[in-house]
Amino acid sequence: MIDIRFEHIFPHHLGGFGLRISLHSAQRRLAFFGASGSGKTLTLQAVAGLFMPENGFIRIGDRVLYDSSRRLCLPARERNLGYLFQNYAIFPHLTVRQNIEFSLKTRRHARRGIKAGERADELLHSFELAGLADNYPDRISGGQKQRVALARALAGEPELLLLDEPFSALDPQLRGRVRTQCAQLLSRFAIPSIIITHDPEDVSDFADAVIFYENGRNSPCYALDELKRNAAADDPHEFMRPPAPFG
Amino acid sequence: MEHMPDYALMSCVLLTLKVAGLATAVSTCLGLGLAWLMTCGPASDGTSPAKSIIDALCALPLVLPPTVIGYCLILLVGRRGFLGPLLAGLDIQLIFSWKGAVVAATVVVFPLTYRASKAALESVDHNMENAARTLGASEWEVFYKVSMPLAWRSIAAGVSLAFARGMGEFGATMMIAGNLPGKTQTLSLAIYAAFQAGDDSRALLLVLLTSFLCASLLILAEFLTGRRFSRNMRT
Repeated sequence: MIDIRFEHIFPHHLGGFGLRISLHSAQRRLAFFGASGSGKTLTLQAVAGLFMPENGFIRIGDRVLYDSSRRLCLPARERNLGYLFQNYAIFPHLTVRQNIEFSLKTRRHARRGIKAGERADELLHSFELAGLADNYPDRISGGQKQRVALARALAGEPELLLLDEPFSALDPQLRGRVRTQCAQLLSRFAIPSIIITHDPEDVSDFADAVIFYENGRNSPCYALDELKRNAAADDPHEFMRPPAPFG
Repeated sequence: MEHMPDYALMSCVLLTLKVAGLATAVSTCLGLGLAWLMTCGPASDGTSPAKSIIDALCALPLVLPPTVIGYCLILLVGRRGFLGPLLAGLDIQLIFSWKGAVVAATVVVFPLTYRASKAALESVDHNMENAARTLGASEWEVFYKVSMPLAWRSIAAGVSLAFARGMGEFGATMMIAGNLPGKTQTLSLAIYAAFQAGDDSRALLLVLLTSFLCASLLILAEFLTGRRFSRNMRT
């Protein structure tokens, strides 16, 4: 269950953009859907601890990550969330295996006594990266990079996976295949997730419920089935519309 | 034709390397630390006038005449200077000692190490550092496991430039440490002394030696900035 409420107004010289987010959902697989610049990524960064809103409250499951009224803000490293960056942010100076082991070798995880090598072997195998383990990221394809980033994000067994437009950096002809593969892998790991996208196909494959974004405001949470039932039958993309105005 | 005895030349070269080396080391630690605070650390958010002022002050030694830097340092660390009593209490003598030459060179090369470090750390993709944070890395781990491996080449180029500049330091060093053969006389001061004494062949020898050392360092800096591993450039 997630519970997010926050407000943030950027100073005038940064565009004067105002965010007012209030969302609540018990769904395991959520999508934030909307145009660029509507506040989706900032919401995700606020959840991950990479952006601190002026005031608000963020709870994931039974853990409060941010509560401005109690001056509580867990640092990103203690939130235990996986984050898949839009450009993957794979460390170029580390091999595929070292990238995947990164979180396991931080002091935080080293204390938990996980054997980094064994866990990395498992992940390399599940993500079909075993043959590339000792390659540097500049020697692998876009789809492979995405799998490395995903394996790296999942290595520390996060409670929630945050996906920031995970397919926008790929060529259109590659996108469909990578999306299918990625959806299969995630369903195998059965991890709750939030995906940011403006592509209806991503929503169908990765989410059970949708929250629409527009100009720093968000809609209530709609179940995907409900949206599809209400949609016109003639256009398959037509279901990605908020049933009621918001904001 | 009389040459400077070899041991005198050697001690002069060694003193120069020692002064430039220590000054570079100190200014690298200070410059890198401050650059980290300004770009990655807690104070990195947004732009404030205070940060612009700090940046400008840190560039000041680049443009001030060396005599001004030397004079300011004497006001600061001289026997009757601002920090004089403190240094005397600690039994540290900076004026007319090689330690004073280190202080002078540190101040003169600081803008080079600070600016190189700041530019290098700023050029690191912030998403890389954020990725490390979400993966459980502490700020210190982010710095030495991600930021530094991606930035060290540019920083090292700045550091070798600073070392070369430190070897050639003349004005501020002369004011604070004097020109005492075997004690505070670095290569650039020895050249001046030899020229003043009319010993042209010794001056020429020292000039060639200094030029050779400085040119080697510049080539090293060029090598570090020009030839990067392709994997350090791509994301």
